Amino acid sequence: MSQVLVNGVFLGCLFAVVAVGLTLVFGVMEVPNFAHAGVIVMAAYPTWWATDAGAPFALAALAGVAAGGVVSVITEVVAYRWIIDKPWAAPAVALGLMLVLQNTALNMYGGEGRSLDTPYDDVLLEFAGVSLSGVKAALIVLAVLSLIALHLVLSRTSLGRAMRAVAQDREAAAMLGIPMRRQYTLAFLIAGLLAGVAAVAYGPTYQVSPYMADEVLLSAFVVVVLGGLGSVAGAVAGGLVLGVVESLGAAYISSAYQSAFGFLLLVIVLVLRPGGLVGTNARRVA
Amino acid sequence: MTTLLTVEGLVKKFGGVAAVNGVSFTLDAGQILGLIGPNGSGKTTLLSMLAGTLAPTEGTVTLEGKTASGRGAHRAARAGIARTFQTTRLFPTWTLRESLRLAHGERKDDRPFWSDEELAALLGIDGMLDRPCASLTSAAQRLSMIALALATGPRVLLLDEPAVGMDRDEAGALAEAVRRVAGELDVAVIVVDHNMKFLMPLAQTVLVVAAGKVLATGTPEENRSDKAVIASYLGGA
Ligand SMILES: Nc1ncnc2c1ncn2[C@@H]1O[C@H](COP(=O)(O)OP(=O)(O)O)[C@@H](O)[C@H]1O
Ligand SMILES: [Mg+2]
Repeated sequence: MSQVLVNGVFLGCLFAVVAVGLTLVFGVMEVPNFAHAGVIVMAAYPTWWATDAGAPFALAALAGVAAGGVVSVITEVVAYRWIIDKPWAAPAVALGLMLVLQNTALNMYGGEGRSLDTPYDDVLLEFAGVSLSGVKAALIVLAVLSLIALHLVLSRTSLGRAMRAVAQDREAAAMLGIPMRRQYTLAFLIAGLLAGVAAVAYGPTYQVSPYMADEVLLSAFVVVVLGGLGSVAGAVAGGLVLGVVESLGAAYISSAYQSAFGFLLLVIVLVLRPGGLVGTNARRVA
Repeated sequence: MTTLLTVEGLVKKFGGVAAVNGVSFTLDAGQILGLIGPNGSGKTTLLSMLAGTLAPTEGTVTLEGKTASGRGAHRAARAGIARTFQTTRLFPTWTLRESLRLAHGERKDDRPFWSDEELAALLGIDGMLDRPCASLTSAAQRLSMIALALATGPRVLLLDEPAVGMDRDEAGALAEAVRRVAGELDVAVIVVDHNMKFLMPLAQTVLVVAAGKVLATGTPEENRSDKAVIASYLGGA
């Protein structure tokens, strides 16, 4: 049981980091950013490439995180900002961008999975009969640290507060002199850096491939809806809940249906609490 | 008096239909202009163009000789045009003080403005600075929206139906606050409202619009005696 919970927390941290990026972008710009999966891929490959070329893992990881930020900002600058007043176009544009990024990776690196080696590959933590691989422990640590950093940015900096204002009411925020474009770019930058953290942290447990993020993206979207669209706290809570539920379901019912448990949970939560776990129905004051 | 705001031939079309159809006027510093007209006559659309929320289809807005229209809401705000909205728009989970702090943080100018406490006192919402905006009464929320607009240090203040839902005393206090803003800070104010008992004593000039066009302009007294205006648009007020 505790082993299952630990696995759930690992999955939950991964879901949370990916979902927080999605929900931030949704909060300020209201686009379902499918391209986030492509950003993860474009962050994972530079990391793999650099370690393969002999760079120290820490340096390669930093390069990957930075690449995530850059690619994410590029998607905003070349695509999303031009459709801000055409919300009906957003899903198609987002899907298109995801395909473009995945195919770019496919062209550059080929389709076969690459394994990402880390210095802590052989570490195995054990306590009270529960074991945790070094790679999974590193993901939990990285996820917690980056979520704390995000919290500090959103609550302590004026750019972060402006972000929360835009997520609550775009027009009211603009009235205070907040430039929307600056906030859009910032949201995509933060989301991209978090995508980079996710890529670096879970690349080693799966494999680096153009399609490595497809399933995680689906789960993360479930988390975004679970947590309440646009709610960062909700995405963190939702991520952990979904991770634990999927692990429990996989362990005690059937691992073949792991993702299905997530959707079942989603339906139950939406029936009981239509605003999501944290309930952000009041986000927009009409 | 010096002309602060010049509005020339503003037109806004929504899918071929003109909501505002060629509106021109000027506004002096410290002047209070009342804007009246039936529902759907284009008042809010006009304010939105002045505040940069909407780009005009035709025409220009100049503030102290500089083009202020069509450049986005945040640039208009930074140039000194602040607005409130017809429906309350605040940051519901934040306190007014947190929201005001954000407004101060975005400023790049040295125009005069009032401190948080002075603003709250001016608008009669002292003691409400540290409560979440969502927990305030609807009148207090509308006043908070004005406080936020004033925190941007505006030269021009646009108020869209600020007295909606207010009783006689509340509306009277609001009118007094608007007078002080215009008088003490030399801010030009445009007030849209259907409450004539609130607006007529407050406005120095009144602009009557109908179907996107200016129907009449003058002092409240001149409009009051214009039988056509009274009959068709003020409902006898
Ligand atoms: N965003 C919009 N899209 C389409 N039509 C609009 C929009 N905003 C306002 N209108 C139309 O423009 C006209 C003027 O509206 P508005 O400016 O809100 O009038 P008022 O504030 O005087 O009641 C109305 O017919 C309204 O339906
Ligand atoms: Mg209106």
